[in-house]
Amino acid sequence: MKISANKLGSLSVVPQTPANVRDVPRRIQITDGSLSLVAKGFGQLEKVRLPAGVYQARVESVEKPFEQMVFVAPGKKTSITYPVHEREVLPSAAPVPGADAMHEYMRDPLNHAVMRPATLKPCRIVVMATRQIAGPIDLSGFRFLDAKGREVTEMVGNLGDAEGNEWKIISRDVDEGGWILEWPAANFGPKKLLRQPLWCSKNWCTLIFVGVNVATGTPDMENVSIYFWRTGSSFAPEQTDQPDSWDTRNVLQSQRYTELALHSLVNGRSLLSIDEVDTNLLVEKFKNPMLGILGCHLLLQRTSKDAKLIRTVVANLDRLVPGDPDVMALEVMARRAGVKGLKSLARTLSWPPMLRKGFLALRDEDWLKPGTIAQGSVCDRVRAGILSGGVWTRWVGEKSREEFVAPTAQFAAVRKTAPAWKKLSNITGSPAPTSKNVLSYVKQFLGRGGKKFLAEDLRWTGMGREQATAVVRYMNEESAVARRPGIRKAAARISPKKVVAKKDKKTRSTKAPQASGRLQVNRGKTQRKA
Amino acid sequence: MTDTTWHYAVVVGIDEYPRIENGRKNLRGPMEDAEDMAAWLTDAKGGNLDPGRVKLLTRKAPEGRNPPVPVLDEITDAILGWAADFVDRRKKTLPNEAARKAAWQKSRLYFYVSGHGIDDEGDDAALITANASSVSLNHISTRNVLNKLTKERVFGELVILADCCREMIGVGMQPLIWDLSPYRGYNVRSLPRTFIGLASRNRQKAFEPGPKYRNSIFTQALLEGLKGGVSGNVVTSDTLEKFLYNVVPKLAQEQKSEDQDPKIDGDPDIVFLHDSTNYQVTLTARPGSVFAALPAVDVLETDKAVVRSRVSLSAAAPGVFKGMLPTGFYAIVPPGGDPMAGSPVHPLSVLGKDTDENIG
Repeated sequence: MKISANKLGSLSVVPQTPANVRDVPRRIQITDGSLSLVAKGFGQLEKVRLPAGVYQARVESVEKPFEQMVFVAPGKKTSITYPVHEREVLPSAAPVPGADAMHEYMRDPLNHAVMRPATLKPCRIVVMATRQIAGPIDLSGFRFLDAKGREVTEMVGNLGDAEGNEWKIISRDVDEGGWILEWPAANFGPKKLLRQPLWCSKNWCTLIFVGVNVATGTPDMENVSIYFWRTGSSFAPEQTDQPDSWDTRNVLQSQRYTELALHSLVNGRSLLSIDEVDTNLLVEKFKNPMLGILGCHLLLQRTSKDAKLIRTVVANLDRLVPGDPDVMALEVMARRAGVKGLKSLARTLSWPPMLRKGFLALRDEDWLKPGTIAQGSVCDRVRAGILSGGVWTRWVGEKSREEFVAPTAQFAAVRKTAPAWKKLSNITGSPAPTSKNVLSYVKQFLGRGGKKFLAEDLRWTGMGREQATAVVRYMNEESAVARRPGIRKAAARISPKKVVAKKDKKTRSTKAPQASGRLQVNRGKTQRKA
Repeated sequence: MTDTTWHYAVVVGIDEYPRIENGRKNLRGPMEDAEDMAAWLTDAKGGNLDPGRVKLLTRKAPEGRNPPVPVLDEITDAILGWAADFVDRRKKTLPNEAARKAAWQKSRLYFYVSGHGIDDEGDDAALITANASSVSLNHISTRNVLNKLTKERVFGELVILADCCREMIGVGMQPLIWDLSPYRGYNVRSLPRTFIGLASRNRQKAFEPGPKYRNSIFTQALLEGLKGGVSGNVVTSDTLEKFLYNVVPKLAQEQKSEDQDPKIDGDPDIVFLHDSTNYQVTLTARPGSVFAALPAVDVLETDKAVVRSRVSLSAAAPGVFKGMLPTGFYAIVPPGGDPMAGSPVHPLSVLGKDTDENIG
């Protein structure tokens, strides 16, 4: 029912002190008497037209949220002011506006690392570790690996390394392409390592910001921020002689938006209004392509997709950072979301995208169109071991770095007497934990009987269709061997009969499926209702 | 009244985890949560389910089991048991396919869980089962339960409620090895309808109650809403969703000073209850205000700039007005006053609990 204009009033919700570019905007929600959300925004709401009546305004805050009931009178302007006791900041290691690591004394050395003249290599990786309280920063367990899994000890241009009381910078000039960050994964076992892929594009710095565990001084990779910044372009223009110029404001804003977009993806809840995604993220991407990549992910999360905008962003990103796996993943995601008229990037992918959602989309695409992911590539070998949760693509690996070993070399290394999981690894090219998990699942599946075991039943593992088909074939062959008299040893591992017999003996509690992970109690993972 | 002949429920509450840090991660509320949820489900003025079709699983119910319980197999057996019973009962008691289809359209499965939880891809809430340990995080994924039951349309409506954390952990969810094709339902375009209520947003925690309270935060709000605490006279998927979005964060702030925002995703038109609860409202006029000397005040409910209802609250003492009101937002005005015409007005919120407020 349309309401006549004279029955409408307007409501504004504004902060007590004007917000500046360095603040994180607070989420504002207006609800009506049926408890329906009738308006929302970030930072402030200006003159929202509402039917006269009673409403509640709620402003979220890291402290106590602000709530106020208000009567909006017909034809009147009503305004509510909410208190701002202290600035809201994002928990981020990046010294950018809106983050808790935003300190001028950190931005200066960072700027220096970005602005330093290029050496003979076309790309640069800058890792900056920051902490809130002065203390040691130990990056000794932190490694760069090249695309073949080799640890890089000597690289051109390590003159950019620097450190202060609360920060440390490692800077390397590198070739274009894929790189790996590696660090110890204490939660997964003493000899385990976590690996995260990086991508370096020509004439761009890949900036990686990591926090530091205050107790140990080692990197805390929970909140990692990654930016692309044009080599030689100032990251901290406010420190020049034009601190208030339009360009300076734009740079600061683009950095703040990158952080907001990243946190929006992390939390699955946007910290930016639709207008901000449309304009700021996507316009500012020319300075910082990561902003465009994150913004496009946010656009694709919306219920109604702006196909034209998405097409433009993907095309521009492909021009800015050609060959970036994340851009290719975006193209696949957009196509799967029904966006038509995309210029097909049509490349076979061999390096994992940095953003996990993109990787998952490519994995799905590869199931439908085998060949999207290059067979035997790093991308192919880690596809079934990607950690769930989080924004970034990561996997747990061994010190042997077997995911970088060429498949042919590994095939030769597996003996006939090797355990079933190792044979499975040989077939699929997946590392050990994944194979063990798959084997456990297949045993349960076969033990239950009834339904025929198909490749589709293994899709959830992340394997490719060909790998899954090979596993099914292997399991069927082994089952056939198990049924032949006199061959009992092989049967012990996979025979459905044996599984059923074992199952009958077991108590109820041991039948539950085993998840292949460790409870991360030290990070409060199970501190529910604490 | 909703016909609940074909409604079933599996209610799980896990408060003791003896194998996780020797029980140091045990919880206070889940068993009580499950008991109270089961009580609402079987209450004639609540869910109105036949008690024989509500399976309660806690460490005490059913009796005579060896801890740690409940475990995954018990929970899956309970769900699969109801699926089998539903098909069997339809076959045995109904004369023809048309009647069976009608029964299926009225059917509903409630799956409620409370305990420790994890998430995987950001769209799940997996209950960690009682036999979980630090090295083997046994769990049941509510998303997988929903997907399996929805795919084969086993029930006409599915209500999944999970009061547990949704922090992500590097463990993939173990799929359920269920073949539900023998229990397949019918092809009806609008069915199955689903209501999914998760206690927190992805990567976030859900909280136990404050010291004086019996139920966990989400379950407190859920039970209050289901008992008629929502805005309006009918508890539906829509009104319950709005109620939970508004009340859960308030309770979490009041009792724990923490942020907890639920995640609700419901198809419209699922009706839980035809009733509403009235709450005691006490309004105290500030000295010198326009309301201070009045014998009564009017409480107005407005909707789209129109006054929908008017209730008078008499003064129980000078400047103190008392009455009963359901959940909603109200405009308090002097007797006969019209806020749209410039009468003095005080905005009031009643949200699922008794309310004391100073006015004027």
